[in-house]
Amino acid sequence: MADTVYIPAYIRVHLGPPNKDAENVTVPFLSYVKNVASSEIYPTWPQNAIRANMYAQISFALNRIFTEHYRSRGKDFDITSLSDYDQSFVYNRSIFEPMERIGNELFNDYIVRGDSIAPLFARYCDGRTSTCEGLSQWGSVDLANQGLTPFEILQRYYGNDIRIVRNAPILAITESYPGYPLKKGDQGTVVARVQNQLNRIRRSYPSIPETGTVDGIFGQKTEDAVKAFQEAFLLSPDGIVGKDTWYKMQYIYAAVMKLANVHAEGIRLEGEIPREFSRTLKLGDSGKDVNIVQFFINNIASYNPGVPSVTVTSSYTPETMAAVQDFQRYAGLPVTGEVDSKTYEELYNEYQGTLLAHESLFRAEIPKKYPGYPLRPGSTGNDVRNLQLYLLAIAKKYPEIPQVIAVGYFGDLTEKAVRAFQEKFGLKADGVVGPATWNKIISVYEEAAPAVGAGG
Amino acid sequence: MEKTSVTAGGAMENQGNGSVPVGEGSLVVLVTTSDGGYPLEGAIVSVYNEEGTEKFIKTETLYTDRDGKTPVIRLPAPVLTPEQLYECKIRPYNVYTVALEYPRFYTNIHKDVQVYANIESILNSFMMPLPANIGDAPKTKVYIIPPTRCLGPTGGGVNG
Repeated sequence: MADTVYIPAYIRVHLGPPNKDAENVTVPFLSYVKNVASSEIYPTWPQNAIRANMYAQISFALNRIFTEHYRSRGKDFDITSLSDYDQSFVYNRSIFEPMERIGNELFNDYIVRGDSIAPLFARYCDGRTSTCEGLSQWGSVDLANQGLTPFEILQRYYGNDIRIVRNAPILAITESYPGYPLKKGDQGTVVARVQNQLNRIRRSYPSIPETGTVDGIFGQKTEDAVKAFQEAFLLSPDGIVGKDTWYKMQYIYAAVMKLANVHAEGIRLEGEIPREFSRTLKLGDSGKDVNIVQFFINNIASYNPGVPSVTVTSSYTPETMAAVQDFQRYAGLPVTGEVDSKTYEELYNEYQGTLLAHESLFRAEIPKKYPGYPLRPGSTGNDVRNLQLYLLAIAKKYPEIPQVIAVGYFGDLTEKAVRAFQEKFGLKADGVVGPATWNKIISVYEEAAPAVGAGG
Repeated sequence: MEKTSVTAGGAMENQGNGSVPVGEGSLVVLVTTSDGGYPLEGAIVSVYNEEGTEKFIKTETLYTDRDGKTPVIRLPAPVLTPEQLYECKIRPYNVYTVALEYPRFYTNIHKDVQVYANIESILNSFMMPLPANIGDAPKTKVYIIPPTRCLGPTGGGVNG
């Protein structure tokens, strides 16, 4: 049992009874809290009743983690999704605004008893069809209607010796909330951190304007960027980095970086990934081929919450084996934990799918400025690859333009596509991409891409 | 800033709750990769009635914006008294089917998305890439939201 209580950044949920095989999903704890509340109680209830219930739900989940309730029984998850065993969680469900807002405020607050550091095993029942020694969900509504605060409601059910631990540290998230809101006029390294994160998030969410120089000064531009971030993520757009905005930013930054890192690793490994299966990989093996499998897993994990990320060690660790088992479960393969030819084929196939998705998604980060020299048959490199990504998107709207392959080599297919584009848009059809053709491609792409997506 | 919104083009009615007044709730859809790692701009969003047979917002195709977000979609929803909510004989929300399409990704279909009167529902749909070679396998992922507890099969148990 742990002796310090951190809020986990992520929680692993088993989507079924504990002793039955079922998919596991790893989700941010913040999202989990909102999901459970939306699944367990009504959004039309009084705010104080919702808050009291959410404190109980958070404490219950943290108790499961702190006591290693399932992990100590050999399970590779923290909690189940079922109220018969734990509390209701529905993967990929809709969330209600009150739960979204209150969850942002108190997801790292929990109940303890007396001097204990352990999150309370906060049992609860609906109070209508079942009762128990713990909070009554419907009873909390009556108490809220009588004017009791969330804490007073909790005391009624769990005793007067409870207290609330607030703003507990988050495990594996770069920085905890500084404890006070950041606003225009503030200065310091913590402001610089916010500016850095916003500027990186902006590359994926281009509606967020630049903060300007990362100088640690919370000026007008930083405030505008914070407001745009808040608009994008349905937070109150006040331009102040309070606890809710702070943690939302941390989670989004982590998700953006996770995807960007696997994308960058993919570029680094390009050309080194064999299509063909070479040998069966199992626990204890090591080598470059293990490294490739771990890379596949991390690529898939960046999109699929049912497959956990692994540390890239080039050794087939128990962590790697567990992730392979999760992948096999997801893909409907025999769950052996070994990479045989069929598993390798499916890993490769899924990985190739993520590459195509990357091409589709990362279009916003493709430079739109003319590269400074004409691209023609025989040209190679990133500029050619970018050109091909644009042409791919345009070809979706204009089927008379042949589809190219984004490989970074200007071959016959690319030349045909360029000529077809030039003919269609009244340019000299010479198959060479100079400034006029480049700029026309960008303007046609800008018009075509929002509806069709690049590389789709 | 005032949010842009679209209103359902379907009949303003409750679903099987004829005796209850009809009000209005809302839905915002965010379409991203897992955990919000990347927004999917230009995803096609379709909202259907409970049976999935009648499409709402008939007059225009609804796309997500640069943040992967739709405008606020206004939808009919029943208005219950607190007593009716407690009795749990009438469903306190309307349900809709929401479909999300984007090239190179599975189409996500969310069934029974709950909309309460005067409450905003937020559907953050995480999209997953299609395998490069999918063959004849289904290209959709279906997520079904179960009914609220007192209307559904669960109850009792540890936290019943």
